[in-house]
Amino acid sequence: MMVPTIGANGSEVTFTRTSEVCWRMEPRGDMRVPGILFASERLLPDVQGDRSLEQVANVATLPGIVTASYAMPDVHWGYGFPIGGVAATDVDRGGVVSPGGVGFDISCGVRLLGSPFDRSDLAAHLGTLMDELGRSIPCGTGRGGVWRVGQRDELTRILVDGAEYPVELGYGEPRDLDRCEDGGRLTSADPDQVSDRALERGIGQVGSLGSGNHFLEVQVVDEVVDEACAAVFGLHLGQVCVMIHCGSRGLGHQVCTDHVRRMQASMDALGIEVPDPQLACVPVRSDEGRDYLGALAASANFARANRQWLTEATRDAFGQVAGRRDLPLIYDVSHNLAKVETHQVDGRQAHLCVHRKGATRAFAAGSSELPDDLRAVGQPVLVPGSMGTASYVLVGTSPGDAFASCAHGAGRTMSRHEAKRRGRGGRPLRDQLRGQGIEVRARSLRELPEEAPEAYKDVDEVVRVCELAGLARPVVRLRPVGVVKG
Amino acid sequence: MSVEIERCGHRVVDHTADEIVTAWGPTREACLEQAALGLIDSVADVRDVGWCHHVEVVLRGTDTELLVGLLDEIIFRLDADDEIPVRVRIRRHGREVVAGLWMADRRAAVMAGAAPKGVSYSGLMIEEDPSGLWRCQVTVDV
Repeated sequence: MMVPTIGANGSEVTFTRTSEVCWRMEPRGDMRVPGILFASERLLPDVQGDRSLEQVANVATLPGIVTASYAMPDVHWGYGFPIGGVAATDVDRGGVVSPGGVGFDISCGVRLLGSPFDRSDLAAHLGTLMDELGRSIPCGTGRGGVWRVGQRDELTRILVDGAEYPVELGYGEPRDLDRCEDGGRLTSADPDQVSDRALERGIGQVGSLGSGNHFLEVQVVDEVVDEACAAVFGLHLGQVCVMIHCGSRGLGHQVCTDHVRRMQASMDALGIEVPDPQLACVPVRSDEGRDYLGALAASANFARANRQWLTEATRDAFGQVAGRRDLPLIYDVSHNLAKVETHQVDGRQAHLCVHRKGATRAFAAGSSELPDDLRAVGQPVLVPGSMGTASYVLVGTSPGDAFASCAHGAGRTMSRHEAKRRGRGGRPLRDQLRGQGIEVRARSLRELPEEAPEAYKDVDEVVRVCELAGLARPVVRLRPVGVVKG
Repeated sequence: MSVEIERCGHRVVDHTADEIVTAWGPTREACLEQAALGLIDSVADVRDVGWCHHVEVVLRGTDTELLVGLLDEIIFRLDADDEIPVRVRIRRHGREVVAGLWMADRRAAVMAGAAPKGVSYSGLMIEEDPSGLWRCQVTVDV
């Protein structure tokens, strides 16, 4: 079976099926490597309305790209890179870094908190708990966060120290940091590369969800696939958990805007051409590349601190309503990031700048990047579904593929406008979800249908394909019982 | 009425994860103005909101840079100041373009969609067509 699409610079290319869940596009035109898509037939992007496969081909033209331009099972149309795209460039061989391979929401990610409660413990309190979370978790457009930054100096501390800073102030516990990617802090942050405009956008947003597909969900573990691994993660059947999805807010968005513009101005002199201007890129080993990676790390630190403060606000809400605030962090992953990592390429160890845009790092057991307790089993991989369906915790597997990467969610199939047009309105959707045992708190019912479950792919199928493709395997499934919509 | 026979206008086109704003007008300035109104419409309903203060923003560069600069400014003010323009007027001033923005408290408006994060260069276009109509298209990450 073949899927025709448009490749880089308008050339026609096709994806050919190589296994039940793997499709390959041979390089054509300016493509330097093949494109590889992990999908079942049900998950194939709609060629008419979704141009993500064309974007996979465009990414394959980046200077220094190695092995392949990958698309995860939840891939959909983005800008520059597809959402669900993974690409690595060889830093020692002129490999580039592209802000379009990260996206505007730098270090957007997901964290999962466990709890000492089972579903039955919270049944009587759920409405009150959701009211309290809806009141105390800042969401939506503009300013407002649970932490008020005193002065610019304090914002610099957040950019340098990430989640370590709130923990140092008593907003969290040291164990939280063990369960964050990079210990909650990227040491390569360079706050001098974050513009005044970025600081102005971020200073009033520390500890806030934002809008769009961001959320805080109270969930229940409704299926355990791997009991031993779940136990190591700190999860069991019937347990109440909390999932938080947000990123670096306006600060990260502005960093992307600023550095794309700067790179575009440099590309002519560097002799770099790309088929899509949002793929603007420069060598990792250039002034512009180093500056962007320093600003990116600072933004990622902002995102981790942001999620840490929201974690503490969540613990406070549980303490107030249910009497206990001991919600241990299971794991915190970023799914919009570029990082230099070491991977095997053609039988040699290579330093690669791995771009994951709408894709999650998925390290297998034995990785030195993981804390001692997780090293025995592998990294937790958090894959949220849509409100009303399910979310999953997976674990990275060996040997993995796509530079140890996995899907990051269900993946949209419908635009926001189409979701609104087809939906029955915010109030009926909220009532329908309530009928399914899911309490929704949204600042605007008008926006709610944009995130309706029908607007997304089937997360169960996405996870099935991840497992068949050897990217990661499921550990537990969670279903939502309460949603604070961003 | 068909959009094709209106001389000025804007609309939001479907995109899987983001928003594509298209706009048109008889002059470059009118086209820019409509693009700004298209972005504002995708965020909030400001029809019944009064303005608080007026700012003027000087934009420079190519037509593309003017378009991106204008929309970036609105996105910036939404995040940093919690303000949204309820009226926009673009005029040429020598080699520069001046954007007059009548700003209102964003919280007074009815929010209609997700907050914009930034303006993408993918598929970005602003040009005068053979009939003399200016058209632009821009993808906004939300």
